[in-house]
Amino acid sequence: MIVPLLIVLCRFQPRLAAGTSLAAIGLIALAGTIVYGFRGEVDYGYAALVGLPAAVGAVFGTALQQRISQRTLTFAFALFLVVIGVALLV
Amino acid sequence: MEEVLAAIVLGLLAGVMAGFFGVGGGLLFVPTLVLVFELAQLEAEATSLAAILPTVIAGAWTQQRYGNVEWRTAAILGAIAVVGVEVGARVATALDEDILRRLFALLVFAVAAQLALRALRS
Repeated sequence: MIVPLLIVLCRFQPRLAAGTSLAAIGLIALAGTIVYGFRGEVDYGYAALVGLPAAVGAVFGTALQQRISQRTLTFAFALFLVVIGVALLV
Repeated sequence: MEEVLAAIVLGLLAGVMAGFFGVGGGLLFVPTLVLVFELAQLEAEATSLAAILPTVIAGAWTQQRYGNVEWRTAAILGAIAVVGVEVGARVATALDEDILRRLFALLVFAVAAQLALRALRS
């Protein structure tokens, strides 16, 4: 939800919104990992198993995003939200 | 072995989605951890946070190279979210889950319409 909020409320261009969102999520995930980690609820082995391939994927996804116009990207975000909205309802 | 392969493929996919849409990837991490590794929901969510970390670091680092990160805003948002999660969790537990989900879906559709309008006008 950070990306659409930055676009709609702060009038960020979609790419700037996506990059800023990733950085913000980094802080949130860091805080969460520390808290849940201390409680012993984080399985670091599994986290690495999905997280490290995902890091490679994220570089690819980000590079892919640069090739798309800001306008098309905004439509893609809208579509992504619709999918999430539908998933919430079913 | 099949599980490891599935985790790598799904992780890669989650990463591409995270980088492209500027999300964490938890949307795919959590079901992967629950369905493939049979983690409990809470443990899967906690583990997903740790998996999100390398994902968004790689994504933010790549976006930074294109000049697409506003660090000050990110720091403010991150701080608000960390505090907001605590408050939000308390409010959420006080409300009926079904109503909460429908309200959130409504908000999501409204924002999607806003985005589409903005794209049409640009």
